[in-house]
Amino acid sequence: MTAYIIRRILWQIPVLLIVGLMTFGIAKITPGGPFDTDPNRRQVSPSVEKILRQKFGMDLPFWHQFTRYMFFDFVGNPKTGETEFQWGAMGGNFGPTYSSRGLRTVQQELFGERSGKPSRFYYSARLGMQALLLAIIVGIPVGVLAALRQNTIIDYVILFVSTFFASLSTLIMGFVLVIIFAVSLNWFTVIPDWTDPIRPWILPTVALGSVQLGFITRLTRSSVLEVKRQDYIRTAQAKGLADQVVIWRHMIKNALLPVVTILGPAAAALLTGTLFTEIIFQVPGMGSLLVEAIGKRDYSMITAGALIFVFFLGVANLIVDIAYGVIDPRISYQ
Amino acid sequence: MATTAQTIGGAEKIDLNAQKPRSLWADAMRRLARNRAAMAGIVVVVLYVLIAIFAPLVAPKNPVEQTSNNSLRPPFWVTDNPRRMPNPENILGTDNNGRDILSRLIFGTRVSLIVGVVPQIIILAIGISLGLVSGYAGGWLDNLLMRITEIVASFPDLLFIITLTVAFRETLFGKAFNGLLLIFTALAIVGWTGMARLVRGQVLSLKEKEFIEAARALGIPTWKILFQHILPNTLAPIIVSVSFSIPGLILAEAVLTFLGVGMRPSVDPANPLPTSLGQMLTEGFSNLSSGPWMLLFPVLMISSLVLAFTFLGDGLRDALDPKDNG
Repeated sequence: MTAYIIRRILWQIPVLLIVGLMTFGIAKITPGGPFDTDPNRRQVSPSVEKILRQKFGMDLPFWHQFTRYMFFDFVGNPKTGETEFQWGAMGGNFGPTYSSRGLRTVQQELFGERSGKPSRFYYSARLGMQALLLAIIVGIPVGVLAALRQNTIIDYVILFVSTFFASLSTLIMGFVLVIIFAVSLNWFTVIPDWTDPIRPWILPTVALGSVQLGFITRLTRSSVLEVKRQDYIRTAQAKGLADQVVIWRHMIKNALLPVVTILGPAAAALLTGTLFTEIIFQVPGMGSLLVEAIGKRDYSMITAGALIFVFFLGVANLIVDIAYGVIDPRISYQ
Repeated sequence: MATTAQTIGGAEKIDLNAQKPRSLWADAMRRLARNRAAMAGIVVVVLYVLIAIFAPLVAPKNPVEQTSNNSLRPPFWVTDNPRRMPNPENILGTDNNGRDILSRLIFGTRVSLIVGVVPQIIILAIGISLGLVSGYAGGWLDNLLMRITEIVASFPDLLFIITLTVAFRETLFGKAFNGLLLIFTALAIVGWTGMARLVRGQVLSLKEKEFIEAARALGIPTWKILFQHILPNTLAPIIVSVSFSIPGLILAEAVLTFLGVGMRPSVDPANPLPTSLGQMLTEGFSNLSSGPWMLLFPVLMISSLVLAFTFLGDGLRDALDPKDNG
């Protein structure tokens, strides 16, 4: 088990390196950049552009820029003339953002508080956790209910609604919620007031969680149905155990095992889902900032976003795998 | 005893003769035809495909033609606002540029279906060939290919597609077909991993089967074993996977366009692919307060399209794999 965990963690290193290399590489080899004089973009005079390029190290060879961004570099301080050691992404420094002309670093933008308001990371993390909780807390009981009432009208309705949720994307669900609850019923304002601790969170949480809610409901249902057919359930019933005991102790406990596996992909979907959920509902989180950065070609921010996403994904998958091994002793990792 | 055994044997024979032998596919088709949700899905998909193919004939107006003094007209049944009455010529109303929404929906469905199909073909080509090679060859080649697959799969797909589309958007390649070519490529580059894994898994179990061993013993060349003996046996899961993947691609286009890196709208009246459902969703969302119907109709259209494919996929899965009907 320990060897397995260590190998999984080590495998994250090449993945992160390659993700970084590809995102960074695509940014560098393609024409155009954050300061170029493309008439369609924000214009910067050539002399200013030269200074900025120098400031951000864009005149260095590619490998040097990459290692500076990913690992560390020795940077000359123009004021004192000394060279200083400077961490790269490996040490949690994602460098200055291009769009702020180097005034703020990526980590300040993402994780720093902004004049009393919580950080962008807080908004995204809270939204993601709420959506995941909604999906689990509602999805599992509803799925169990559908399975216990198999082939009744309750089952059919639950199956239809969860298929509906699972197949529509968060984007469409967001639009549907906006049309129904914000435009038609006027229960929520289209422009949210984030000083309110509950109200503005409801619609984005439902939109983001709905797809996973559908998946978890469907998976729980089919998993319970599968377990229901097992011999040990028949044995438990045959030896005269009460229905409640059979359902809770024998059926549901075993049926929930496969549901744990979906949490890894669910975390991935929630991460990318925040990108457009935050735009639809105007959440001031990481996702909306990243999309903005993409429009501005702020490559230090885009690469940081990709690295952070992959990192969180790796952590989520690892936790799920370990949890699976702990819950189900039959699983052994080699 | 002997007579009973004979009668039973005889009865079985009669049974076999009375019933025509059915192939796996005919069986699956019968099961599919009994599934009402799947049949409804097929009807909707076929209907939309026909509309998409004959879009210029079906659409009442040109989808990019702008009429002056005709913008933001509501659909025909909304008559409660005296300052903005519906125009009988535009059944589903008009958008903020005075364009007919019904016609735009028809052409938008056309583009969205193409986005669902073209990258899918590339995904099939890459996924099937890599899966076949990886599964059949085994050894270091399998290891290498699967590691590559794992790395590509561990990318946050949406973020990677966005980075690609942003990077190449201003190039000639990125401008081809209103940016559709770039979307196809980006979607295919990240989308093939699931297909490769699926095919590889199938090949791994198939190549241990006796009929493959027999084919090898007969000296049949490897490519023939792969394409004539192994590939046809992997078709069932591939078909199911495709029917789930198409709606995913359609939604991915909508997401990309919504984020501003997808399709570019066209104002050329002769363009056969002027707008997509994603484009209409984006336009609708930015006109949410003045004309909610601009968002409502593309939402309904894309939901029905996606649901139809999902029900079809569910039905196909149940029909092709009778063991797994939970």
